[in-house]
Amino acid sequence: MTSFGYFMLASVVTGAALLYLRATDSKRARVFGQTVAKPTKTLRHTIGIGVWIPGIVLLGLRQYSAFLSWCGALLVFGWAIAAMAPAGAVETTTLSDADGKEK
Amino acid sequence: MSRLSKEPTKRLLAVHGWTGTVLGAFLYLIILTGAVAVFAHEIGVWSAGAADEHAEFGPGFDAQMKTLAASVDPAHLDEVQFFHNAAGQLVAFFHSHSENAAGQLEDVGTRFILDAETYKVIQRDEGFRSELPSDDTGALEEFIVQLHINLHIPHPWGLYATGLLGFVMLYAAVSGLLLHKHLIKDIFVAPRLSSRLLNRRDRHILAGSWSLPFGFILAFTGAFFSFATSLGLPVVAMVAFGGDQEKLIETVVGAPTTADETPALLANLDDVMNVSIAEAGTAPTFVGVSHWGRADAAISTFHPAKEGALVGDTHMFAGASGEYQGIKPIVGTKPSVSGDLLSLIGPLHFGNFGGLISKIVWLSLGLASCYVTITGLQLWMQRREEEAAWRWMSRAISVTTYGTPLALIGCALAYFAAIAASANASYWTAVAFLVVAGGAILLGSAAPGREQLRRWLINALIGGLVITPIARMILTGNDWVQLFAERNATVIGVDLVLWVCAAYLTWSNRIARQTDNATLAAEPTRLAAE
Repeated sequence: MTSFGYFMLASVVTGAALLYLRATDSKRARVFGQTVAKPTKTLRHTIGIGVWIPGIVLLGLRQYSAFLSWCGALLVFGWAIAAMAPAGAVETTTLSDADGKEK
Repeated sequence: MSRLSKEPTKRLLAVHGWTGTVLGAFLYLIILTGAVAVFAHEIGVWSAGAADEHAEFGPGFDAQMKTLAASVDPAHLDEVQFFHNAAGQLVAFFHSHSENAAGQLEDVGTRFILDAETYKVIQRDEGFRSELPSDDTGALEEFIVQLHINLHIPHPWGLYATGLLGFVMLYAAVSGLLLHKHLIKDIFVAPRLSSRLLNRRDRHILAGSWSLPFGFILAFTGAFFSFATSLGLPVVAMVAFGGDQEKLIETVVGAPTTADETPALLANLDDVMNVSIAEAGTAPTFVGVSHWGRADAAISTFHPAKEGALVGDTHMFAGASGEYQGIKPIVGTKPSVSGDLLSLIGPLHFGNFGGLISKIVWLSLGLASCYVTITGLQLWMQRREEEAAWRWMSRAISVTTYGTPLALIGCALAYFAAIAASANASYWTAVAFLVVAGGAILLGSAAPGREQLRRWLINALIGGLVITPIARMILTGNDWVQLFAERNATVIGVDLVLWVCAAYLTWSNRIARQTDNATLAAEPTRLAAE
């Protein structure tokens, strides 16, 4: 497989894990007045670790170029999906959050 | 996440904000030009209208270079460099080092620009490197790269300035990390819409959180590049070698071979190229020959990284016999961990290790850092917008945000116009940057309101992005029909990227306006609920 192939494969796996983590993020749901099916803590932790597995595999395979590109893509994709507000979300945050206080 | 108490947090926030406010515009300029410079090669090819792939150092290279070597002053055979310019032409610079009129040591010699396939001489010039007619094919690429490296401030002050900005960015990243109390908890929380201030704060923190690792790497490697040669080497020479820079260079680069001025024919360069390609796995992008025509001649070939690797290698050959001598370590004469670490700094900063994919990823990360800088400035300003003394800053942020890319677009337009008029493209590219930047500043002070200013600048930028590819086609006569026939993906690709940017800017501007309206509409309801 080419370096590009390794990169794409790793990015798809990590991207899927990040999407799952976003979809089950309780704080994100609370802020936007949504309810999410709460997964078990173990499952969420496992998926959380799963985000990094492709990177470790790339390092193990000495695919350094694909590894660095994957690192960057993880950050860009993570930011892009986190920045999108949930569709049809109703916000419940009050002014106290503006001062950095948690509800 | 952070466990800082209230007072240190307050102080840290003040320094974080003030350094960002004072140096934010310069930081934005450096990061934006750095992000664009990731595609410096493609910009060079696009501006020169060159083919995607140029001929390498193929058959016939040896014969023609030896003919050229016989035609130059023998004193210019001390060092010879071969590389391709932005237009894909082969540049051969036969030179030695001599004191110029200012009393400084400078390269002096004969430069040839040749057709890369036929090796036919297109141009021949002689003199000190700084006096040679500028090779305008790469003027646009060179202007952007130098703006990023040293802000076009004379050496070494430009490097000190950009190195300092690297440290400011490093500080901003570290202090941002310490200031954000819930980095992990908030990593998936989208910017809230309940107030404009909260929305801006969330946008700044979210982008800052995700781009934090890249911010560290970018700032550290950038500061390293700025200070390593301008300050680091002289300081190390002073501390570790008693000021003996020659001794330092000997330790870092390796001791020079014993001089042997006995005349000797140079080995066949075509054979050397074949061996180097077989050893490195990629074609060389740069070839150097020292002491051409002497028994102690040496040939070095630099090769970009091969598939899957991060770093390219320099391969060494004995000049007279052509015998392969192995890979030249980046530090010293033997492979070392420090050498390996040092060689990583380049790819980590430039993002050019994995072809188009790594470049796209690095560009995106660079733009994310630009976004963090601008949202940080906006946040600082919004907290003070009631104070009359700070109102100018809102305009300054708009001028910086949109005026910088607008000035870069101005450079591209001026470059094409200068090339079409056979004028000095390097000069007019720089003038255009200053004129457009000055125009944006004037617009900033003349606009009736800040929203009006923002709209004017965005519209000007969108217009510039749309017009530039059309102007390129008209002024260079290199249109898409011809480019398709030549299968030139780079030039078409850059044209398309500019139009996609224009479309994205139009769309995102509309979305931003809707978001602003939504947050403004939400505010009375929220305040009533409070």
